Amino acid sequence: MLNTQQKRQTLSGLLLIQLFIFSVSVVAGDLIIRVEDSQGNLLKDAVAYIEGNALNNTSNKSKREIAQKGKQFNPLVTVIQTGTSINFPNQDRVKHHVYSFSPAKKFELKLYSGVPATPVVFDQAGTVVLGCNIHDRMLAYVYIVDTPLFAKSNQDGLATLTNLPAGEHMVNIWHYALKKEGVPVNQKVGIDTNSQQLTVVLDIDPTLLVVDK
Amino acid sequence: MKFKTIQSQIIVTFVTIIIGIQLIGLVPLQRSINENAYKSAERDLKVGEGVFKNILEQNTANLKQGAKILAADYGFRSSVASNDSQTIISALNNHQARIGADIAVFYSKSTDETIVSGSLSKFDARNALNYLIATYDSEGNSLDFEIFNGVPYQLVAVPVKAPLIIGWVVMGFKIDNTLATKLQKITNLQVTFVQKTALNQWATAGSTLSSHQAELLLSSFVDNYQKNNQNQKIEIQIEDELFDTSAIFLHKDRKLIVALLQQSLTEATAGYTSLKNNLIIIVIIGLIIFTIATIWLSKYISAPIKAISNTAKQLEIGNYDIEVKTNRQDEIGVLSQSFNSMREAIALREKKVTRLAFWDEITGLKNRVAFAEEVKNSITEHNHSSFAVLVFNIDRFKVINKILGRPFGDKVLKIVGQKLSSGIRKSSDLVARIGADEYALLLTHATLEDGFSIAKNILSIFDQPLTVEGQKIDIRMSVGVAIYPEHGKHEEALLNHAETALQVSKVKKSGIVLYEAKFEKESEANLTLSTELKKAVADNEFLLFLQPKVNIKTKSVDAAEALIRWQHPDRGMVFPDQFIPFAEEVGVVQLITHWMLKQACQAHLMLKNKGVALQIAVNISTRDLIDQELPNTIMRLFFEYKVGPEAISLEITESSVMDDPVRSEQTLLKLAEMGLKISIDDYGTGYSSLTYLKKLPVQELKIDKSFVLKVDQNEHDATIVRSTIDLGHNLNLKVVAEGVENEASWQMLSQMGCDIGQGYFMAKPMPVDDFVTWHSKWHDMARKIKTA
Repeated sequence: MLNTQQKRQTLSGLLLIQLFIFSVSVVAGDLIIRVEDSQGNLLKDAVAYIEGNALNNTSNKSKREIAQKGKQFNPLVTVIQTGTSINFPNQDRVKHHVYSFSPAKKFELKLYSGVPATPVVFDQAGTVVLGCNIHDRMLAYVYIVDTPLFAKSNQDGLATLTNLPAGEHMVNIWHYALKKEGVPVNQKVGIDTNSQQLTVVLDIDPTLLVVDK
Repeated sequence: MKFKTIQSQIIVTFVTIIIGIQLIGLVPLQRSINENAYKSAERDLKVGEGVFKNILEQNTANLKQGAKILAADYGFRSSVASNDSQTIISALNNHQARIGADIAVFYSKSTDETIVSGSLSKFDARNALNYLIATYDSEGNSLDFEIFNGVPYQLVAVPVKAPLIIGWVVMGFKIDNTLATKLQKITNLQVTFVQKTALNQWATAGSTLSSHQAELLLSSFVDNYQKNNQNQKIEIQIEDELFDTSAIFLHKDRKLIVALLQQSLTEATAGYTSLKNNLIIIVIIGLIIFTIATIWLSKYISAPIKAISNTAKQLEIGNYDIEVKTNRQDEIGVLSQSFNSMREAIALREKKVTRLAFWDEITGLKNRVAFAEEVKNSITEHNHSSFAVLVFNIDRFKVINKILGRPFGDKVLKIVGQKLSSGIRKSSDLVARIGADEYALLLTHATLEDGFSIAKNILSIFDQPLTVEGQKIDIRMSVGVAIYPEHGKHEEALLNHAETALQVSKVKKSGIVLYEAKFEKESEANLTLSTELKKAVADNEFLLFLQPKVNIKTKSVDAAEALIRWQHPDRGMVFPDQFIPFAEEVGVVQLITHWMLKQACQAHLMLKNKGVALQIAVNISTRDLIDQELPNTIMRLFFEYKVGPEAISLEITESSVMDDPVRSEQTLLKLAEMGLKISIDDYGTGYSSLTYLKKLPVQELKIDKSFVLKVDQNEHDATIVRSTIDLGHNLNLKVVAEGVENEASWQMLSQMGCDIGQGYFMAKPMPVDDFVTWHSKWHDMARKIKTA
């Protein structure tokens, strides 16, 4: 394992992160982040978030759902603010046993159908990998951030952070297939009232990508 | 190669051929056995190899299964998530035991910690683990084999997912003797694992072979590996066993662990070897049987040949009693039988030859040789005790033979032999036929008197005529006697002396004659006589006498018989009886006959000149008759004296014709053609067959004087004379009576119709010169005789 890591570190040295910043002087603005891999493929399910004290007064903790349908978790990646609760409605006919051994949130929902009575509250930032004890192939990620400013890249690899206060921010970008596992890429960005675009190139392990069936 | 015997020839040839055939057969058999065995071994090895790989895969599958079960266990994953080392190791222990693995290792990805169950240090485990995990592919396969601390293992690595990989479970079996034994049971191959040690040297990890064998295999493998560096099949000799060996590199890339699978070629050939051994035993037994049969056959063929050869050797030394025994029907049987019959034929022939050599065929008596031998034996055995040798001769036997035929003569000889045998003392005496008409008697322990008395006895037997084929025949014998030791000390001398005595007897017609030494002198005298006779012819010492032959009816004298007298210078007048038989014997008679014929011609001419026409009859002997020149001689005389057949006539005896009838007849016919008158002289003394006489060209029959001399007194003689006269007339012959001595006889003959008389009554033989005188007187005398 050591060897592998060393190899990866060597590879990371070759990584190029290009930031294209369009500076506009506004009070609040949007940031559109375009996420690509080193081959220029657009990456969906990438998480972008900005942390900072100035934003503590706002929250984004509305209830979320990760459904199980066709023996798959849907969505694959869920990004939430700490304290958000997620329900796991089972839309399949078979039962599921949803579990997490991730330190950010360890839990299990023993064999159940339908909607569990109580949702699971994720009160600690971190990455939670969800699995099903019945169906080994089922996999979902819950990325818990301690900020309300977060977004997930869509099908086109675009993640949009809206209503950002003007000023300089540190943008963090995480993807479950990152080679540097669990370590987000961060980038400073100045925000004004104009919308800005940012392209982030991630060094990912393509074998870890979950491909839709 | 040359053989001394047929037997060895047959045996060597056949046995060599059969051994050759068997060897020719065995070589490809051996090759095919080896090929088969090797092929089968190779096949077994290939199959075993497949099975071996299969089992290893199965092992891997089992390991994987066990590891997967562990990796998937929720509790285990939960322990891993909570870094509960105690629980993790107990779970590892549990699963390791469950599948019987030798080691179980867990590596935690999050903590980079290694937990080991089994006799393995964490440090040892780490290097291998990294490699294992690195080679784990998306299909769940990882490297199967690895060496931990010098011990090779078959391993599997399975990730622990939750659901992302949070760690690895590695499970493994030790590669050791146990595994090798297990694999051997299933594959039926010898299994040996070798590995490369940390020092880069090869070592045995586990083997079904003994440690010593395994070492040998290892060194063979290393040699071969260094040479070829290939995964290939090789043949390796371990101790006495040859193995077909296949090396399988269990490490796909690093080639650190090798499985050596071995199929014993020795074992594979074992079945064939026993088959081959059985075959060889069968071949050997077959060869033995064949050899015995060949020996028997060769004996069967050669033994009779040997027997025949031995018998032939016996035949060579004169042993004819050994029979070649066989009951076979084949060529050899036929040969044996032919040989037997040849042997018998030879034996028979030899017997016959022997018999001919010592026995007389006709009489069954011993012959001269055998008789001489017996006499010799008598001399040696009886050691000076006296014995007698008697020699018998049948008088005039030739005549019997000629007239009555040889077969008849042979019968006479046989009967005479029997008669002689009946006259002797059977036990010790011996009769033999020693010549044509001559017999000899050996009388053992006999004195002179004994010899004489026995000879007399025997002669008395022949007083009675013999009956042969119903015919009565008179046999007269002459006997010569010699006594041992007086008359000879050796068999030849005795026999010769007895024969000399016999000759004397014959000449003198004196019956039994005992040998005397003077006979030898007489013989000498005879020799002298022969010379003297020749001289007498040359010197004209002979005189011609004439005896008139008078016609009884007319009393005229037309003919006379010429008779010879020898005027011997010392002995005086010698009569023909005393020298003619001898002259005949010594061959002087022809000279005498020629002299007579010449004298007769001269006498005829002389008398003719004096007015007497006289035909003069000359006696012709046997020797003259067979002389083809006689007619020519007479012709020359006729020519010389200018006379014809009226001058002379010829007188022959019956017996003179009989000696050689064919030639005699030829001569007689020629003479008759010349017109010569021929008379049969001495008729009645021989064995004349009238039928035979009739064939001869004769005109006159002269009755022997023995019948005529007493014809006037003896009625018997008269009857003979009368019938002879009648007989002669019936055959158209003139009949002459000799020995007419008185008038009574004359008268009687006249009455009987006899044509001519001759005898003292008319005239004694007289010199030619006296004849004219007698002739003139006769007319007066004749007138005085009464005419019948």
